[in-house]
Amino acid sequence: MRPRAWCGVLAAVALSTTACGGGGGKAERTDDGAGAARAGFPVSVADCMGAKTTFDAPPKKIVTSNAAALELLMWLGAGDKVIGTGFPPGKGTLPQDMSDRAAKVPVLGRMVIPKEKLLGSGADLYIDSFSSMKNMGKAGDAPTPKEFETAGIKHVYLKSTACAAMTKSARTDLSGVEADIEELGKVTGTSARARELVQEMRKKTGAVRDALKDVPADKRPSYFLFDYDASTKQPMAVCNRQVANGILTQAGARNVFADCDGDFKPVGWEDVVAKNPDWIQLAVRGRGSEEADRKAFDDAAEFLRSFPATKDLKAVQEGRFLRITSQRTTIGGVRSADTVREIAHTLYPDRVK
Amino acid sequence: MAALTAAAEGREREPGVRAGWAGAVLGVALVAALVASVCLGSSDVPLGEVWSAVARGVSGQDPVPGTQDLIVWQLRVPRALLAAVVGAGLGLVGTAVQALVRNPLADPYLLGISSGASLGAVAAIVLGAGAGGALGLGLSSAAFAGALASFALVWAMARRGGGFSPLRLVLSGVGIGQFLSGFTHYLVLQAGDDQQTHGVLFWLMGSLGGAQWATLTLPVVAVALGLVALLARARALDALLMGDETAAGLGIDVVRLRRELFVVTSVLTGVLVSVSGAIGFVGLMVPHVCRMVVGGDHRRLLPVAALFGAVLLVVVDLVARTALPDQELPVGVVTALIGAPTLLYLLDRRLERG
Repeated sequence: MRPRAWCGVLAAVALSTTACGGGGGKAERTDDGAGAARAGFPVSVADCMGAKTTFDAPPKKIVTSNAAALELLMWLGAGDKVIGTGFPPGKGTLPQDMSDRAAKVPVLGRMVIPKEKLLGSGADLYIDSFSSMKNMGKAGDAPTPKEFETAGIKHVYLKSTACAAMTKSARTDLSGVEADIEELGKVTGTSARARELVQEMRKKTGAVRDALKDVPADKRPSYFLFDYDASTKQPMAVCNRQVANGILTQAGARNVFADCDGDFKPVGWEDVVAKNPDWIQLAVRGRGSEEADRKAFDDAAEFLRSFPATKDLKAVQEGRFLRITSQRTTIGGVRSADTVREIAHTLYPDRVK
Repeated sequence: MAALTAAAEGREREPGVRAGWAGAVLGVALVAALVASVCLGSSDVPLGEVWSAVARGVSGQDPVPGTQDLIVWQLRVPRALLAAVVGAGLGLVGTAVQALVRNPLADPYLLGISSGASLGAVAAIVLGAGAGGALGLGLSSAAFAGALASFALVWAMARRGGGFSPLRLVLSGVGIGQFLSGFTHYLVLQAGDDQQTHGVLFWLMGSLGGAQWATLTLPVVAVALGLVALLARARALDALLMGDETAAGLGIDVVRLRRELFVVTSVLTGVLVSVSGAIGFVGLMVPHVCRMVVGGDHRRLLPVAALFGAVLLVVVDLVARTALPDQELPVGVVTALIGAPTLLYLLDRRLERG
């Protein structure tokens, strides 16, 4: 396909998706013309510390660090360029039309991709959701910038997740996630699609914001994200640098740990009980099937009902639980806006349908 | 035996008086530490409220609605008591294990039991509560099951040849401990994400965060029985430290004694680790500090070590809960930070005097 024809298709696609607007949309397949979307290049993106990486042309072979990065590329219509991923998506975690295609992507590592595999993958771009600063023995064998360069792989971070612990201010909206989407769109030559996705997200979060705009801050219910799978002995607070804090704030909830700086911090049950949240999210890890998820949610609820310190809390007494998995709140992506709406609908059934 | 008693009589008076004093001081300190631990925490509860909540709890009245009673009676009080019990247990086990393997560097975790317990607990966390749930196991039960498994392995290794000789015990314990730790570390790497890794590491470093009334009974009973069982063998422990021949000469069945000690210390360690994770340093340091004060006679050393361990861990847990404004520290981190300098200081003073 010649460049000019390509532009026409792109425009048509853009029009059609915006025209039918907001349906959560399928990511359209776009095939890659050699000279595709040259217009946007060269593009420079920065990492968490501000170091720049420059692209003169869209990448042809991409490796993603985890399911979230893979999903994002599929939304952008660049999914067919992915030649491998780490942390593959669990069963049932992706929208139906994506999961079949995601299943075809070669898995280079069930967890973090081993260094040799990554460097020898033949990719020209690696999209990384993990921070290089916080390698708790997990990203311990991450390649150095020099090694990436030698292998001819450009290294780009999804900053909303990777740089969370390093950011200087609290996160109260999805702008970090949106910036990631737009930046990734620029890098992969899918800017138009990225803009649409971001607009759709803004439309959803905007609708929620409008519905809640006359609810004063002190009338908003307090909310505890209970990370049941991390540990029941030592609750893990989701602090204000985490994506989840942005999602909760946008949904009109007050994160009970909004005043702690960082992404995750271990706290004591005393802190949770003292906050006496109005709502508790049973944030279990998605187990890959609806039935297994249901059981996990039930177990988490059962724990709160049987643990003496929590069983008398008002949220537990009144069963004000949200059954939303941890992945959907603590990992940013296109569907974060849907999570915002879902939480808002639970907290404000009269205002947000 | 007569020789031993005569020798002991000579040393008796002074250490006896000192042990009395040490016991009294530590008893007062323990009460003070428990009171402080119940009064202080990450959230502010007025002192008057704290004590009326405790009074309601003790008299069995219904708690007042709201969160203060929950915090005081369901979280702080059981946690302070658990810290005391676990600390006492670690002090006891440390003392006994040092005598059992005749090695001043021994601690409760030398014999590999805690590695098994950690493996069990981490497996329960990483493989999801689902895996534990299928077996009807919670975190503590999984930890205890792991402790039993490692106990069986070490037992099988250590009983061969000379029958629980110190070297065999230590080598089996360390070897099997390392072997199981390898699995644990592999599992930590399988944790799905940072939060889970955090949770696992927290547990490995020791935490009293899971304290509740229902889980207090087992460690209290285990520590009480352990104290009785070890005190009954106090003389034999003294003899054991003088060497196998001497002990045998005094009519002690050394192999049987070691076997009994191994069982008692293992069970106690398994119980402690299953409720609180592997809290380091207390079991190593406490016996040494106590020996400096009351001497090496186990009849005095054991109860004093239990008391001192209790005081130490209550204080450490209080620091772990309140040192940082918006997060809790693992107890193991605080014990190491407080413990190591204390031990070095004591050693230093002692070496100067010596």
